[in-house]
Amino acid sequence: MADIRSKINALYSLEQLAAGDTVLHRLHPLGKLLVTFAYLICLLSLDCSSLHRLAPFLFYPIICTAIAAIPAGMILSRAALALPFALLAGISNVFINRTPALRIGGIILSAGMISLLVLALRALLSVSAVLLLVAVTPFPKLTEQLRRLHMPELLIALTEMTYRYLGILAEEGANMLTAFRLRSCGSQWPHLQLFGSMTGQLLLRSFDRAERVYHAIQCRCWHLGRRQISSPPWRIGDWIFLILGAGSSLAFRQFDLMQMIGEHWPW
Amino acid sequence: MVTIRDWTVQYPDATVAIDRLSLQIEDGERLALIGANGAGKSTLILSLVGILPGSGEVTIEGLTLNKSNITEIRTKAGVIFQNPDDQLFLPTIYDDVAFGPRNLGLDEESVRHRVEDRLELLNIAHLRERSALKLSGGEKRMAAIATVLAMKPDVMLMDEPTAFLDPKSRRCLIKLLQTLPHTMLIATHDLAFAAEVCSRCLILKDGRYFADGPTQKLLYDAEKMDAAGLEAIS
Repeated sequence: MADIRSKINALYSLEQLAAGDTVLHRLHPLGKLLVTFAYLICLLSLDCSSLHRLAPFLFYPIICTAIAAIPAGMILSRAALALPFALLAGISNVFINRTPALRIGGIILSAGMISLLVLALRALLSVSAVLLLVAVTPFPKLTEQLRRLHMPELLIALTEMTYRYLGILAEEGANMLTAFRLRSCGSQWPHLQLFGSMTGQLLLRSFDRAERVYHAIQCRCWHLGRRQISSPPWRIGDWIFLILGAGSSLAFRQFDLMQMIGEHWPW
Repeated sequence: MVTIRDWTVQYPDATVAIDRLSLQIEDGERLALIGANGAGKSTLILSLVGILPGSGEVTIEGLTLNKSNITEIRTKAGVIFQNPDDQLFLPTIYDDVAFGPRNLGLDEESVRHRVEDRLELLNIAHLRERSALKLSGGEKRMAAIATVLAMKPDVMLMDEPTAFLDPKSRRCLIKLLQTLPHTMLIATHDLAFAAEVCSRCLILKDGRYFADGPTQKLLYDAEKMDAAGLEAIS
């Protein structure tokens, strides 16, 4: 059962990195949130056919991972979870659009294949950027900044609760699976008939557990809309990070950096 | 001081969990709440801080429980849950202990002061940046107590505090509770623990008052304990 337990731990391990003390960790959460928003908007609004234009967007996650001393594998392995969804969304392009678009050596890539690659890379990069944000900023501080940006309180509370509920659900699921495996005579997963009732039980048990956690939160004076965390002061470093971070994303979006380099490079 | 008068708690399905209970706990007194499973111990604790609705009158440190003062009541009376995992839900123990003071609107410097003070009081300062997922049962229990002490309550309401503890952690908890000056209501099945920590105990049976008296006498009274569905200390 160690695999399930370790997955539960892994679920929140990124968040524990947020307690670090690097330059990136010390920056104002609002600055980091705005830079991530700018990065996502610029990245996701790129044309699906421009593979080369994604290259400059690699800088942000690579530089941030290095500065914040976060294991790159930790980010990549979690970001890779989004890949199947991106591939599923873009796989039809490969069959629909077969126009040759790029030749690399002897290999010709069709426009559909390029759009699939762009979708996959965009998914990988955007999820990495969000994971990086969570890894360098404590989650409560992030949601506090969403409050400052006037995001509806109910949405913020739902985000906070869902995030915690995932762990509760996984833990209850692990307990049920342990009980099942101990009496299943070698069978690792419940068969379809049992799966239905176990899923129902899991839902009820996790509701019960979530209710107890909610009671514990209430006992410590939590209310919808109550401001929880005081923000650190906004420093000159935060301005620099915001201008450099958001500015570079906007520049990469606005100008074709790779083409400019190709045109002006003296080779 | 905690005063409860004719307190009744009824579930939505009309089950009466607590039936016209009256009791008084003096300042600094540690009262053990004893009863068989389903006697209403946990329900009573949750209802005293307004988590479960009840009728009658509950007064905690001079404040009578009503909808308008629920935050003050929950500041005055801290609840320690049976399962510490229910109480520890944030990434680090520091965040968990800081959760209550932050909700009270304290500035970050006061929060830090209060959290570190409580962690040192309970000898768990080294757990500050650890996640509850990686703590032992005893460490989790101490962290859960720290989360409540950080609210600076006058009264502590505990539901099965010795659950999930090994003998050594249980001994540490007994020593800690004996040193804390708070008024305490402790629901427990651990009668030996109750006899060591509490001077008085109250027995609930089917949500009703059954008996009340000094722990050193009542918990050893085989006839009364048997009638309440319990087993006396031999």
